Amino acid sequence: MFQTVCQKFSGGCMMVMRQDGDSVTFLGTAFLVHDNGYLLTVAHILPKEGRLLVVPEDPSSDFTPISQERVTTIPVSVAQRDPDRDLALLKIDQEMEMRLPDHFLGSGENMYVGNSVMAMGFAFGHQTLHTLVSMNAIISAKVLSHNQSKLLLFDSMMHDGDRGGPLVSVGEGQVVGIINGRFDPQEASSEYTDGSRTVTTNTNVSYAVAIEHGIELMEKEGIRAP
Amino acid sequence: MPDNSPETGEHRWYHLDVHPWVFFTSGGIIILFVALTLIFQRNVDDFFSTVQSGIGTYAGWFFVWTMNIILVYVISLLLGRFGGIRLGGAEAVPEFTTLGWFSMLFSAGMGIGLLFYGVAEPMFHFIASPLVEPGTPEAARVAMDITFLHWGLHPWAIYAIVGLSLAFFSFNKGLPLSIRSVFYPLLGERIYGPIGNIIDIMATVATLFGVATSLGLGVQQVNAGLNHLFGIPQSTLVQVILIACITLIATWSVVRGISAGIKLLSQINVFCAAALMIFVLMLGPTLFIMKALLENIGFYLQNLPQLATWNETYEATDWQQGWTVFYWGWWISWSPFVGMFIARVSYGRTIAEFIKGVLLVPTLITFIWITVFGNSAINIEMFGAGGIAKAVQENIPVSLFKLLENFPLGSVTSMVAVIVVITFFVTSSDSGSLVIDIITAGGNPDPPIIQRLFWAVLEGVVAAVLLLGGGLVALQTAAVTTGLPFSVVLLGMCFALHKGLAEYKEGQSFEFSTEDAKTGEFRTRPSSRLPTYGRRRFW
Repeated sequence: MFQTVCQKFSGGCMMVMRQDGDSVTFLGTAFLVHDNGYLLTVAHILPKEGRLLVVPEDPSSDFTPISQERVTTIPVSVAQRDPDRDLALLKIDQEMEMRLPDHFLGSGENMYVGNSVMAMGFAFGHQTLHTLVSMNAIISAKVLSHNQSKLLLFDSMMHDGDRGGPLVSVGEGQVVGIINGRFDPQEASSEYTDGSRTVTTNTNVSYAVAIEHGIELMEKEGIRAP
Repeated sequence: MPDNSPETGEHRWYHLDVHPWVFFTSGGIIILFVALTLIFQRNVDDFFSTVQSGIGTYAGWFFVWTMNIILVYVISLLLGRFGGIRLGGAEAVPEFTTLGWFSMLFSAGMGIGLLFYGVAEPMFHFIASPLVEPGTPEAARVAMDITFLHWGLHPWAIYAIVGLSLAFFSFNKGLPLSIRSVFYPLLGERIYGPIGNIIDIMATVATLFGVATSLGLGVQQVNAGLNHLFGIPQSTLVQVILIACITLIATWSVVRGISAGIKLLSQINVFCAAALMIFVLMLGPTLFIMKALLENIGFYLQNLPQLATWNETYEATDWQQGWTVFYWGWWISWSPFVGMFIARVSYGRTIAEFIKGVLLVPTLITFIWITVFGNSAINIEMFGAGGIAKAVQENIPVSLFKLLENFPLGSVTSMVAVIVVITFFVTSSDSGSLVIDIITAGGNPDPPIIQRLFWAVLEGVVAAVLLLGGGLVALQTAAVTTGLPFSVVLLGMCFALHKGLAEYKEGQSFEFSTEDAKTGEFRTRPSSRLPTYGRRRFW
């Protein structure tokens, strides 16, 4: 089950990078959502300027080098950005042949606390370790944030490079959320503004924005969820 | 468009309104066949009955295999890992209420035959049992069992597999709602070429002749019933008038669309049928029926493997040719039509729901129905006045009314029965027309009104012409002979569906290649600090 989900989605996950002269720096993860070359990711990893690129995963299923000195990049641009949901829709600047699975976008609504999920992302990309890392978790909670965003909490420690990766339901084999990062109770608490009064807590809980918000962004661009 | 289905407006449904090849060739073949049948009546009749009896003798075992393989496969789908797949994708919402859905499934799937054979078939097996001594209590038990076999899980499994294949490939894979789409895993893009056209033309022609000849033969039965009840003369004039009335209502229903027409009539139909059944249950031998229902089901389940695989190998008789094998051929030849209709109305159901709804629920309802009518008849024959067996042998439709006369309020129940007969006809006729419309419109589930009008009327006209000119039986036999080639198709369909489902559920992946793309090559550099731009606004 876990294996099938990883195999299904690994080809859709890509590294997002920014070009600085003749080198690139890693920003986070994105995943394909439409065969016209659209990818979803989180907005807060994307700089306002600079040339954005994506790097597809090495398709080999065998052991792959942990780091690549040089990467093959494809230029992308930001098609839509939604700062309130912290999402962005990237578009590959050229026409490319690709085939996506049928109905691979699910809904956060249909997930229940306790459902198995896989979180996929290039966890250690900032350290130039270019490996897609998959982790399993259960849905720990479904919450509405202060700005009414639907968020899925899950019990797995996300790393900085996972941001923008897909949270995939194991049962349905569908993307249910866009990984946003570690859940920080101090940040989430409304008392946070007065830092002196809150108890600091370490957690290994992370969270993802429900895919519904991603689909809204796709509809704003005029593309239908597959 | 009066049909406000959720798919309306999605332009992929409207890529072709008339599929020119399928539409005109089918129309041409239908007219040609009718003409040939009228001219060479006797020869056509002989030809197809020879073919049919040859199929019965030499391919009967193959039907038995096919039916059982498909039943096992359908049950495995219910229990297996694909049960959660939703037809139309995870977010799809069913178009019809569950009750409306059941009504339509049942009305299209069983229809008129059940009404007459519910009484007649157990009686036939009771007085001429192939397995036990006729007329005994054991014969009664086995008679009910054989009838259950012919009308139970097997036919509904056939409908389920065709319906599920069509629904899956159309709603989940985006192919046109047409018989050809089922072959996509085997033929690929060639389904859009001549092979696909031939498949659709065959389905169209078989469906039209199946429905039209049933209509033509059925009105003769209605006429016999009306003659028995009210003394209305049995004449072709009366029968043509009946065809005209039924076609008129069916046309109205098809033109109104599924929600406003077909579903409404199906619900009226099921309501009337339920009323009739409850009447018979209450006024007839209630206690006997209630006891028999459970016993019949238990006996059926216990004997299913044995009876369903029985091939009369050691008896070396040919009883099955007239019954079991004929039924199997009949259900298979109807399956493109009923399956297509079931697919059309099942958008938004999960596979597990679909199989429960198409295999288990209708089978149970059928069993209740057959028990109420069949056991009432057997009760009269075994413990009462008798006479039903004789009536069945003389005239099957009249035997239904003869049965009702044995109970109080016979004239009221007979009137209800006539209404049920007619509504069953209309619901078969309108769903048949809709299926043909969809196929000849290249898989458009909401074909334009003018096309609906054309096919609904043509169906009535073909029935009337064959009634007047002769050849109903010949063409009905011809329609049933398509069961043999189609049973091969059905087995292929199981394979294709399984392949499609497995791939859909777990075999798919993202295929992406940078080979022909404009790409760059860059050196990678570690980040000196974590790049984060802007504050997250959730909190």
